[in-house]
Amino acid sequence: MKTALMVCLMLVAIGLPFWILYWEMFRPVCLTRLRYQLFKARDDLRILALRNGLADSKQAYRIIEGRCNALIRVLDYIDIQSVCTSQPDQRIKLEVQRDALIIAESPPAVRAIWDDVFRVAQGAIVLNSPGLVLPLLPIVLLFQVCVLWFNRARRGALAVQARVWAAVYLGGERLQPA
Amino acid sequence: MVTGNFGVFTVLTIAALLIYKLSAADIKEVLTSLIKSWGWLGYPVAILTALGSWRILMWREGFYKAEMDRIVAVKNQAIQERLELPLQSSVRVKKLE
Repeated sequence: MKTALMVCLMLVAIGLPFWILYWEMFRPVCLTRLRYQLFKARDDLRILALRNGLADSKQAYRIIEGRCNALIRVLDYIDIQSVCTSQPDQRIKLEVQRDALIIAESPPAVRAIWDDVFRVAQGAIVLNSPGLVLPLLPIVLLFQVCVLWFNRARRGALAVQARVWAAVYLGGERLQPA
Repeated sequence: MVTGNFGVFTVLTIAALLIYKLSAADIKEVLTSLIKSWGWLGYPVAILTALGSWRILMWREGFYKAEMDRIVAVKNQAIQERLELPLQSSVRVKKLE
């Protein structure tokens, strides 16, 4: 019992300062940064609309601006639990699918802004769920390393392929009769 | 569970229960040995916490300034779109692409 108490007290003495640092400093500051990124995405979209008129993607503009505003509102408390337990009705599901189609058909600049907004949403979810993210962090890191390795391996294979084709073309040119 | 406060709450509850069960002499012995053996850990934890806080504050100041500069640039650009005369600003900002 004495050892258990000692371990508990040590955990509290060491863990609590870092825990408070996370909740009172790191998380609010990160959320502020994410909020600024959302402001930037929204401004980029508006500037795009101002310059190009967005004649063919007015719907996409409306959708992304609406999502930006909604995300700014829920940024402080959106977490994994709210994502997993929310049960959207059929109307919302259809709306989301329709919006995804509209954005997929929009110009690349608009899609890039949409990707930024989605990344911010992911960041906010991770920041607001440290209880699940921290224990799963080793697995996530391992997964990231694997993805990175496979991407690197794929890029390496593509580089080799490109070299092979370059050699083939060069060889073909050299072998062409004068 | 999601916030992780469950873990902190569990540790604190176990500690409270153990303190309730142990005698005063045992608690004194545990606290004395803890402070004697592991008291020095307080210094690195305090230094790390202070350093972490300082770095976070500096980071916040940095991106806050960048955001202010960006807002100035956006506002100037939006006004310039409508203004024929070249707009002058007291803030040196990067021109938006």
